[in-house]
Amino acid sequence: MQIIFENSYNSIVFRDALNLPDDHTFTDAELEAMKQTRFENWVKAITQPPPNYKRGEDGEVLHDEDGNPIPAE
Amino acid sequence: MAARYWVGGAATWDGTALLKWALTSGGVGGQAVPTSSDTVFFDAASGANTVTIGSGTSICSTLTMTGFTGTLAFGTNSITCAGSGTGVFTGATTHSVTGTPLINITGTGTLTLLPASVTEANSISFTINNAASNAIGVSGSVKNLTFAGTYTGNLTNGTRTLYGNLTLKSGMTLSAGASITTFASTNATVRTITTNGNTLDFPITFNGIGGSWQLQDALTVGTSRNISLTNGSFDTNTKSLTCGTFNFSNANTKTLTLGTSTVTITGGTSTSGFLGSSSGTTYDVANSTIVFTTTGSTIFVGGAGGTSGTLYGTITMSGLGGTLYLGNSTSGTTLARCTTLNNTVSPCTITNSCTNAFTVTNFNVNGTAGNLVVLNSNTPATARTITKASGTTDVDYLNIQDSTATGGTWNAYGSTNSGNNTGWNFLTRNNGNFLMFF
Repeated sequence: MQIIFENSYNSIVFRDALNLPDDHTFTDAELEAMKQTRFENWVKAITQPPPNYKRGEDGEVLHDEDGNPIPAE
Repeated sequence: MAARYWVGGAATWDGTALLKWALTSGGVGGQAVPTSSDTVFFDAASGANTVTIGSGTSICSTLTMTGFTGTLAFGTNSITCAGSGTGVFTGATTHSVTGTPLINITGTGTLTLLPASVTEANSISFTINNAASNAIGVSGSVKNLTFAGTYTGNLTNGTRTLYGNLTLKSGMTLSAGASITTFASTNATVRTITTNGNTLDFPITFNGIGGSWQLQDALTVGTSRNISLTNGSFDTNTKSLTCGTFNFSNANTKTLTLGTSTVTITGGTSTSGFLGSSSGTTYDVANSTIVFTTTGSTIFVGGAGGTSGTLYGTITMSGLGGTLYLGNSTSGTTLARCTTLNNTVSPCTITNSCTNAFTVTNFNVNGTAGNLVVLNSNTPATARTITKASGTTDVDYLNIQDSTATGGTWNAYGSTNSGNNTGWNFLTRNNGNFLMFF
């Protein structure tokens, strides 16, 4: 079974789903906790500082052959 | 632990030993059937034979296929590998598989799967179903990759190709890294991606001609990572998609279905962010929301479609102090279109880079006193056009430069006219009335 849920942060909508066996034994409280954990992890993801990309000598961000920025790591 | 080499010719790997197994490659058969402690080999000396996988009896510690030129006929059965360490399964490009190939991985230590770069037709599904494995590495090509049961270990980063579904397990972890996971199905059957709350901090590419992928829950990819749609159909299935950058700027045949999903772009540069294509894409994006959260620079290029560019639902700038380029800041995008353009933070900068026009129905961009939102052009002294069909647009606290507003009436209250603007009325609110300056 799939339980679709939705929340928002700073007006940005987060829509996710719990995919569970039909005979799952989670309580309502446990399901709500799972939803909250998913949401909080997503908020962390969208509030991280800008990524650090590799830069050339002129300071411009370097991109790979597909045009994607290359992470600094 | 003992070695078991297949010398049984065309026969079934089951609970009967007969003369199927030898201690050495091409050796004399007659050894016992492999157990979960034995290392099993199919190699060149096993011959170009079809080996049928029996029901519930094909068990080993590790399985190595190097040099095998025959066929593993799985039917609806599976093989279980119970060992750990490097090469619990070592595949090869020389052999074939039939049926619904599945290998269950039940070892409890750190282990790696090396399925080789096999074709889609010869790819095998793996289900990792062990108790608290430390770490698993998967590099090469697989069909379905499923983490299930009590698994709480870590999937290390590696270059891998998935021809089937990806199902992660709640409570597991995934290492960050730059190695790309490619979804490469060319089958029209929809392949599913279920992350179960895990963030994938590595790049993802969808690249299979005729392939189709659908999210089963939210997909979050690291803020410095890119998702590419190169070939095939990608459907967010109304779930949230979050990634550093999203790139489908190629002319290949592909379909992007966002429905009512929110796509959050957390990274980017002045030439990367949400980067659509000028041709080759079929869109379902008119009810989508694209949000940009970086405090650096990022870009929205919607892609071609219709007479004014592909119509998106809402584009939102949510990166405090950041810059959102509407169109490619370097090459210039001729046009882009959305129903609503808005912002949730100020200050920030919205730079119009469309050499033709950015078309909008609702322009809801506003700053606050002391935190103006900059609306300008990617080319100083060259005005860029923002247009709507009709009606009055009232905005507050913008700093506008090099902007031409057309269609309807455009009123900017409490805003700064930084020059080279056309079509804007710069006004001051005054107790419900306003003063007009010409």
